[in-house]
Amino acid sequence: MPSVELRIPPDPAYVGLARLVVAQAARQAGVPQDRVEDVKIAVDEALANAVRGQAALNSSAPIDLAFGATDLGFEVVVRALEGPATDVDPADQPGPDLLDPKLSLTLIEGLTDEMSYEPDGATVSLRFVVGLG
Amino acid sequence: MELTLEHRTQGDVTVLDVGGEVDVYTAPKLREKLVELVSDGHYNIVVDMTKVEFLDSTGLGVLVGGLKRVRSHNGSLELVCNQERILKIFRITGLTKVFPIHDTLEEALS
Repeated sequence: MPSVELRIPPDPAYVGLARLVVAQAARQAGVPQDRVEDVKIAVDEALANAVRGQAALNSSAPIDLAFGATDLGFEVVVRALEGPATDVDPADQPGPDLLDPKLSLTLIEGLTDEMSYEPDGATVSLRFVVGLG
Repeated sequence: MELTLEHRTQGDVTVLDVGGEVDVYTAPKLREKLVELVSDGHYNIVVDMTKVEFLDSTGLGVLVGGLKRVRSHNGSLELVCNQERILKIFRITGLTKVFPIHDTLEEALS
């Protein structure tokens, strides 16, 4: 289980801060610089999905992140209340600007070495791993 | 880093310079700018992303929305991007087949 934990409000303004913190942790853990960029985008996508989900639920419940080096590589887990997270974008509704609602997951899957999406009661955990070297 | 947006007209084309980070927080500003440009009659747009530091799927969605808007006026939306980390996002999502992407602004305008 990743050793560092971070809790943020479900507010788009905090997504940038969180991705910078996780990216720095990935760097310190030994993730190569080009893969640190992948971690940044994957974290951003996971958090943006969670923020959209909370907004759709009209929830202020925080979003929890856990991250750090494990036996598998640099591992990140984003845990939040499950909502129609991938279906609604408050920035764009009801405009025509949305792509495939699974786009975030497509990106995370394409940028990381391992990804899983695990519902657990009312919450869902999105977990991914990027190799250390 | 904040998002910066500046536009200028070169002949029949409007160049929108985008700089900084385009994410779930800042993408609405890009969307507003594209909507404003199309509303003002700018139907042939080149989005210069040379100075973009970060782009996520929210930003991609906004660009696709902009493309749909200009196409509804028989216009075009092309991109300038030469950064591998940004191009990678377009490749993974298959959007390299949707947007004409140029290495330089000169190439986009030619």
